[in-house]
Amino acid sequence: MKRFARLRSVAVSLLVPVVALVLWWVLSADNSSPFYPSLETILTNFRETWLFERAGSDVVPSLTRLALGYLLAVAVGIPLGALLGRVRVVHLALQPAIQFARSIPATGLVPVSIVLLGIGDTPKIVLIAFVCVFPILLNTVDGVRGVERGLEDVGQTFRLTRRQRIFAIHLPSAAPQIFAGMRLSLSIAFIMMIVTEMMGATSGLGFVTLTAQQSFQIPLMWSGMILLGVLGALLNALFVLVERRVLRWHYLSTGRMR
Amino acid sequence: MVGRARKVKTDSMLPSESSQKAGAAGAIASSADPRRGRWRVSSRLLIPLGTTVGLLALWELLARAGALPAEVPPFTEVVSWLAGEFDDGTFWDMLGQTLWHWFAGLLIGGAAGIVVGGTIGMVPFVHRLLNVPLEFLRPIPAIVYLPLLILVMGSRSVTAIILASLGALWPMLFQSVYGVRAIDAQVVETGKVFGLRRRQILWHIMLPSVLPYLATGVRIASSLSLIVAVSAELVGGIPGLGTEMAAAAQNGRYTATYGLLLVSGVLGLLLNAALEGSEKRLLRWHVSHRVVNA
Amino acid sequence: MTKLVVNQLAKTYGDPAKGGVEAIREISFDVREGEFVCIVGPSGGGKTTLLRCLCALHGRSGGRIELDGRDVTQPPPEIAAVFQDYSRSLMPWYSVRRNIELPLKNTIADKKERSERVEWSLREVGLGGLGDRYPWQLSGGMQQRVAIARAIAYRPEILIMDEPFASVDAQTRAGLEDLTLAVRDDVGAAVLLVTHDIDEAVYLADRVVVLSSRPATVMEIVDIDLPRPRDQIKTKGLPRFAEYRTHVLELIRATSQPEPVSEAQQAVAATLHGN
Repeated sequence: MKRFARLRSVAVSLLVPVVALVLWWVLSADNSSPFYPSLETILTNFRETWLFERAGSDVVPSLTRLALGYLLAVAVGIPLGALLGRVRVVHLALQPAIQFARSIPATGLVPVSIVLLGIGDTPKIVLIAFVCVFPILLNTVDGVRGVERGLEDVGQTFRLTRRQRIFAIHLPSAAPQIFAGMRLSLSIAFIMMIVTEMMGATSGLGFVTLTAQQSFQIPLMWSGMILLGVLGALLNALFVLVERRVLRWHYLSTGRMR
Repeated sequence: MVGRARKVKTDSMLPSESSQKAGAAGAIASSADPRRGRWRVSSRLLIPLGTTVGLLALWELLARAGALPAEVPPFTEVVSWLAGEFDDGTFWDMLGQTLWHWFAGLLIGGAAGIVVGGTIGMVPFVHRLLNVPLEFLRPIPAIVYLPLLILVMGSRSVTAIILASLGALWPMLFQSVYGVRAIDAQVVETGKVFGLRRRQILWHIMLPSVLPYLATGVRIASSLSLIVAVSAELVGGIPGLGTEMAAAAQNGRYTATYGLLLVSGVLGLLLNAALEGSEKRLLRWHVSHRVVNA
Repeated sequence: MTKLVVNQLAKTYGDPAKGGVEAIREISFDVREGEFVCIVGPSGGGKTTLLRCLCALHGRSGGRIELDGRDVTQPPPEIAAVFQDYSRSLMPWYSVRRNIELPLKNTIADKKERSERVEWSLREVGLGGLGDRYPWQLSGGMQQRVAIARAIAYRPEILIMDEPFASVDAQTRAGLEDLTLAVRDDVGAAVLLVTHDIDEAVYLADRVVVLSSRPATVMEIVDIDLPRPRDQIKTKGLPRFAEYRTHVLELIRATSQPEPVSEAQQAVAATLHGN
C-alpha cells in the first residue's frame, strides 16, 4: 500500500516533465521553422558537439574558471566576513564601499574588467571572485554576529583561545548563514561565467552558444542552451548535496531533516 | 521583550517606596540612553564617511599621479562628466529604458510568481505536479535564454523585459510558496470559530502572514531583475544602461565607462535601500504582531 | 579554608555617576573549600549579574572578588560553569565527546589522558557510552548532564551553576539535584549554585545566601544544618527543613512585597497579554 502511494507520487512528479518533452518532440518533429529545429536534431547536435568535440576545448575551461573564481571568493569572503563581523570599527569603515560594490549589477563590471584586464582567463576568474565575495562576506558578518550569548559565555569561562573561539564557536554557528550566501554566490558565479564568455572570449560555453546564434547555427545554439541549463541545475544539486552533508547537525537539530 | 517592557512600565507607575526608586533609576537611565545614542550615531556616521572620502581622495590622487592604469580617469573627471550628462536628455532616456526593463520585469515576473507560488502553496496536488520540474528550472539563470530570445524577438526592449521577468519570477514564486505554507492553521481556525467570513480571513489573517515573505521576495526579485536587465542590454545590444557601458568601454571613453558604472551602482543602491526600508517597516510590524500574540 | 571571598561587590549598568541601573549593591559572602553555597533571590533580582561578575564575564563597578587571595579579573582556570539554558551552551555541531573535550585541549596535552578524562566525566554523570551522540539527540535533562560533565572534566575548584535546573521538568530536576550532590562528593569542588527555588536551595546547600530584590543586597546568610547525605524524601520531610524553608521564604517575601496594582498597570498587562 505504502509502496503504491510512493510509486504514484513519483509518477505525478514526473508527469509534467515527460509530457513536456513528448510534446516538444512531437510538435517540433516536422517543423520547418529554422528557429525551432526538431528535438531530435538538437539532441543529435548535443551528442556530437558537447559530449566529445567541445568538452575539452570549451566545457572544461568554462567550469575551471567558474570553480577557481568561486573558490577564491569563498576563501576571501569567509575570513574577511568573520573579521568585519567581530571588529566593529572595520565594518563601519568599509560599510559604504561594500554596500556600493555589491549594489552594482554584477554583469555591468564586465566591460570595465575587459578594459582594465583584457579578455584572458585571469580577468574572468578575478571578476567572478570579486562579484561572488559580497553575498558570502555579508552573510558571514551577520552569522558571526548572531552567535548565541550562551556560547560566548562558555568560550570565556572555559578560557578558550581566540583561535578556538573562532573555529569551534563563531564559524560553525555562522555556517548555516554562510552557506546561504555561498549558494547565492554560486548562482551569481554561473551567470558571470556565461556573461564574461558572451562579452569577450574566444572559448567557453557562453561564447559558443552566443556565436552559434549570431552565425545561425540554430541547433548548436539550442544544444548550448540545454547544456547551460543542465549544468546550472547540476551545480545547484551538487551544492545542496554538500550543504546537507556539512550542515547535517543544523538540519537535524532544527528538525528540518529526518 | 514583553517582560522587559512590562517591567519598566510597572516600575515607573507604582507608588510604593522601592519601586519609586527603581522608577527614578529607570528614568535617569533612559535619559542617559540618548546621550549614548548620540555618540553612537556620530561615530556611525563619521567613520564610514571618513573612509569613503579617504578612498575617493586616494583614487583621485593615484589617478592624477599616474599610479593607476591610464584607463582609470580621476574621480573628479568622472563626476564632472556625469554632471554634464545630467543636462543631457539622452542620458535620462537611456536610464529610463533600463528602469523600464527593471520595473516591467519585476511587475510581470513578480505577479506570475505570486500566482503560481500561491497556487502551489495552497493546492498540494499542484505542488506534487510541479515540484520536480520547478526545482530543475529554478537554478537556470535567465541569461541562458538570451540567445534564443534575441533570435526570435530581436534586440528590443521586450527581450530585456521577458528576461528580467524570468529573473524576478523565481524568488517571488518560492517566497509565495513559503509564505502560504507559513500561515498558521490554528489562527485561521480561530478566525473561523469567531465567525469571520472567507474574505475577512483572507484579508485579515492570510495576507498579513504572507506579506513579510513577499517583501523579502520583492527585494531579491528586484535586484535580480536589474542584473538580468543590464546583462541583456550588455550582451544583446538592447538600448539602456548596459549597452551604453559596453559602447563606452569599447570606444575608449573611459570617463563615461566609470561614470556609468557609478550610476549603475547608485541605482542598485537606491532600489535596494528603498525596498529594504519598506521591508523593514513590514517586518517590524510583523515582529510586533508576533510579540503581542506571544 | 576559605576559597572565594566576595567583598562589597557592586555592579551598575550604565554610567554610575549619571545614575545607571544598579543591579547589585555591596554584596559580601565567602565560599569555603568544598562547600555547597546556594544563592536565592527573587526573579530578575540581579542573581545572574552576580554570577557573571564572579566568572569575570563582565566588569564590576566596585568591590573585590578574591580567589585564593588573588583578585579575579579574568575568567580563572579554577572556575567552571554550568549555564541555565543547556540548548544554548552546548555546541550542536559537535558530538557530546567533543563538547566536553574542547576546553580540555588547553589543560591536558596528552591525547589519551584527555579522552580518559572525558569518559570519566561521562560515567560520572551517568552518560557513559553516549559520547558519540549529538546534544540534540538527547533529552533536556541529559543535555544538562553533558554540561555538568563538561564542567567537572575541567576539574574546577569551584563549580558555578546558574539556575541549572530551571529548564527541565520536576522529575528530572530532582534527579539532577541528587546527581549534583553525588558529583560534588566525588570531585570535591565547592559549588556555588544560583536558583530562585527555595526548596532546592535549602535541600542542596551548606549555606544559603538570600538576596533582596533590585538592587540586590545580601539579606541574610543562613547556615543549613541538615544531615548528609541528603535524600529527596527524608530530608525534605524533616521539621528543620520546613523551618529553614519558611525562614528563607519569609525573607524573600519581605523583599518582593506584592505591590498594589493600579488601573493603568492592569491596562498595560492586558495589552501585553493580547486580550
